[in-house]
Amino acid sequence: MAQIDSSYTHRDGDTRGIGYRRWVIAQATLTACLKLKGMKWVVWSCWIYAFLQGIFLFGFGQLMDPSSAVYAFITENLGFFKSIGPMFQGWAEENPRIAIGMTYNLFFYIFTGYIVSTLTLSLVALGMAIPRLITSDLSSRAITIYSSKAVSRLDYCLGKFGGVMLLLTITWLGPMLATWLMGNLMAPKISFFWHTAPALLHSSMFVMSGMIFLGLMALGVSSMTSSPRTATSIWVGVLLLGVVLSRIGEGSENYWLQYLSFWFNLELLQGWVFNISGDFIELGTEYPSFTDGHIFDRFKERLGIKKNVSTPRHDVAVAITCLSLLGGAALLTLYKKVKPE
Amino acid sequence: MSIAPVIQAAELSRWYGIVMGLNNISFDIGTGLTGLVGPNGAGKSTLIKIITGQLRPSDGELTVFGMQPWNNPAVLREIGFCPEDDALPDRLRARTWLRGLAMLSGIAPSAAPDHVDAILDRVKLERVHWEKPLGQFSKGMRQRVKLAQALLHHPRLLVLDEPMNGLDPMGRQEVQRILKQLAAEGTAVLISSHILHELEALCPEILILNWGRVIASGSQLALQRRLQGTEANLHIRCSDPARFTRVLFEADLLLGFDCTDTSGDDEGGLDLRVKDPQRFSDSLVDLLTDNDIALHELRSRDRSLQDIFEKMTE
Repeated sequence: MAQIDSSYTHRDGDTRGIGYRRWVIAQATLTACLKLKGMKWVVWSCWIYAFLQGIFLFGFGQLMDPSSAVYAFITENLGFFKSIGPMFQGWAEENPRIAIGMTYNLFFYIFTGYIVSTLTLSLVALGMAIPRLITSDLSSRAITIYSSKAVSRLDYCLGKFGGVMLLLTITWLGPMLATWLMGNLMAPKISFFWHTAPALLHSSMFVMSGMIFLGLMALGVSSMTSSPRTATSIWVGVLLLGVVLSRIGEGSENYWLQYLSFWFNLELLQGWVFNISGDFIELGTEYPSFTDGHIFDRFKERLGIKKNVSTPRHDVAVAITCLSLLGGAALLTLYKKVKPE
Repeated sequence: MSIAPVIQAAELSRWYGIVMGLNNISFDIGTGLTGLVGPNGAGKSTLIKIITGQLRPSDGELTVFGMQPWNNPAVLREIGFCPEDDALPDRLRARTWLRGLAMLSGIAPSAAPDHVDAILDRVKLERVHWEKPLGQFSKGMRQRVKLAQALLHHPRLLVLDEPMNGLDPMGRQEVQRILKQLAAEGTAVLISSHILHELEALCPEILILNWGRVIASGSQLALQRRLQGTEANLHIRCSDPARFTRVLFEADLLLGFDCTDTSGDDEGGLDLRVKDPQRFSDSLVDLLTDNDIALHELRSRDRSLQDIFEKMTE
């Protein structure tokens, strides 16, 4: 039998640690996703949308400043704002937490999780990216080579997860932060920063929770098959199933079906994090005449706030449990599929 | 100086459901070039997967550099693996993919490009192809890229599954040269191949598997000697072949013979199957001198790995 000198060291140069290797996987995943045809358009759309939202917030900020040219222009030329403008201004001086903080909270509630938000664009981005996450490694069988390198299965998955998180940061979290920052930097007063801090906190909490959940789901779906088309179809199927279950369960005896829909669960989570109902309750207490109108009721209804009560905690607990179970199922799929055996 | 085997298996088994992939095998593999031989279904791929940490043993233990390789980056960073499968992402360029893999192996981003270029030069992939997508590569070029990725991190153990597949004769020679050079540098190289004559020329050490069991392991020479303990196949040319076969029969040394020269020449060649090679060797000179036979040529026909393989697996 041939023998070796175990003191022999062949390698030259430094070797970076496992954190660096995970980062390499994450970076490569993001690069592969961004190189996809059409992905740049989706990313640009997210940022243009964020910019437009920023402009809206700039306009809102200007309503608080009677000396601004924008205020003069708006109140003189747009009939609706003739009465609203001075009202906001009075509010801003009397109760800035409601006038500024609550408006920002409502704004980010709508523009972080609704159909009009960058979440929709992020879901499109994920749908496009899914074949490039794990599916492509399975179909090319390159996963055999990756798994023979000095990274464990967990490291590989963490790296891929990091890549998805980076993609969602670019399409969802980043634009949201940029909107908030833009609105505040162009606001007439520095105090906007702390009045709107709760809105930022709520948005960040919800978006980051959503990112983690959607990232896990995307990885789970991507690891299910080595066929890119099948992976995309499964993703679309999961999204549609969520919508269907939510609609079937709504107002029916089988209301529990709604909890199988991640859309519904995310909405519940969002309602709890932003506590918009609480905001409306406070607003009704402080300014009862303002909230009594029919228009206001319809607005609340469209936001899904039917009663002046906060989202029940047990509902949120069930939603979080269901989201965790779905995430767990995705993790289990990853564990089963992303193994060299 | 402390010494240890590179790969050590002790009562190693692996099942796939009720199918036995490896059946309670034990062996040691050291530095240098070792050939892994066996028919289809012998358990070669299973063994390679266990060595490269892609499969967990069902029972027993296999260690590489003293550690278990399953999901163990500490061992995997010492192993380079060139799979038999065509495991390259077609859409990526050779250089880009290898740079990513170099970084995945812990090489700094600033050092990776030069490192990759050096490795691509080493496996003799022409520079004109470096920036082409892998999907455009021929099988031979893909084989070189697979070899390059296995060498990227200067592994101390290189595991190659059918590395010569798709390579032209020149390419095979180059790969053989690289492997010999690596072995000379101290790298342990384990090669699984169906091309036995190439392994014969390349690997002094052999591990033969059949039906999930190790049926022989060690140096080719030692295996040869082991086989010769019972019988040996020889080719001989002498002045009087007919007389020589009669003498061997009388001495109870001959199991069979075949005339290889049918021209009727008295000095024609003979293929002999002799029993007890050691006794044959000891008595050959006496037999020749006593019977006044001149020996022109004597060589063993058992020297090929093919013969060892066939005898061991029959």
